[in-house]
Amino acid sequence: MGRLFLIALGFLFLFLSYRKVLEPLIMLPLGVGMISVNGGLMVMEAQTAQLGTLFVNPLAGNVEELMYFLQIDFLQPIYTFTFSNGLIACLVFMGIGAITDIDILLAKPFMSLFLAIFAELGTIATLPIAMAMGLLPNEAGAIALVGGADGPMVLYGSIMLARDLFVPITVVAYVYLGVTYAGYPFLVRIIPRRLRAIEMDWRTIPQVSPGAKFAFAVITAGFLSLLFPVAAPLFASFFVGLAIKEAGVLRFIEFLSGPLLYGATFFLGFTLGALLGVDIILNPKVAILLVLGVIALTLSGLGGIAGGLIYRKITKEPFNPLVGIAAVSCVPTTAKVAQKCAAR
Amino acid sequence: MNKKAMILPFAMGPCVAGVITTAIITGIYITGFRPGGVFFTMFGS
Repeated sequence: MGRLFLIALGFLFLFLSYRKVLEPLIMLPLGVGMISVNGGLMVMEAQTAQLGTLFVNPLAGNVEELMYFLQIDFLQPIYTFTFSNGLIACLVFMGIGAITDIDILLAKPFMSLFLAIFAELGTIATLPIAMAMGLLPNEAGAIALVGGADGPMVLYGSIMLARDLFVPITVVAYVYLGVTYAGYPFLVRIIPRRLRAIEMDWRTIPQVSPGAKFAFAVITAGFLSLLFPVAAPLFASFFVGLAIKEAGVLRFIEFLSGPLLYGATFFLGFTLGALLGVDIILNPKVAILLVLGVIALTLSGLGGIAGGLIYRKITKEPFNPLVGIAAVSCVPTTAKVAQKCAAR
Repeated sequence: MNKKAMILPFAMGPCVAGVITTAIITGIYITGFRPGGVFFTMFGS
């Protein structure tokens, strides 16, 4: 029955990603993975009366067991060599770095960081809420990262913090991110219409040289890695992509922003779908994660809006508070949401 | 449609800054809240 539910859910994800309601880059391969693995396992369980592994076994622990499954499960090499160590998130991050534009961040650092800190409200406030709801501190930290609205970061953080819950947490993050971008335009209506219509002259933004952006990338990578060694793979991956973009190394830019980014994103979605077995939805903690995901993203959105309103008050410059919602990370989707709402 | 309300260039700054602040918080959480970390020991018992 559980597997039938997951197959139906897989079809729903496929439909919504086909209609572009959910992000097709992730949710389409995820949906196919879910349907295939749960359909296949349903037959295997009926025939053998035991839980089989068809695509991937995330619980393979010792070397002998691992070598066995590497040879029989076709997605096991992808999982073992890229998921279990967080590499897949780092590969996506390299690609994101190679397509990220940091002009405004350097031209207006106070505005950018001020809003970004406010938009972390969900990431920070969800942590104690999750612990109050009975999650362990490491599990609470992992689900709170959904408030950062950054899929690869949630994947990396949940693998490092709560490996047994990383599949539901990452799926919750990706599903909610798709839904949130449809929901944020309603959330921003709490900003008065006259403020949402404020025009900002982008021609006043000062130019930043590629050299300054390159220096920022390499210095920040080193500095942040020094401060947070456990997250150094994330920093190194993002900033190496950024440094390559700013250095104008065209062949690497094409590689990182094309085959690497989209290849890693495809296998992330497909393997995640194959991991989404019936044991996941039978875990009683999943219901709590579903609630906490909504809380985290809503709080982050509200934090970003509050940051935008406060920034406008303290600077007195013509500033559209909708920019605040863009600080809820996930380059560049939230920025596009802000633009779409401002244009209405 | 108000096509003059072009805020996308401004919005990209906080958007990218959000990635960096989220990465910093991820670093703090992984350091402090993983089993054996300072905060895990403090709040986990």
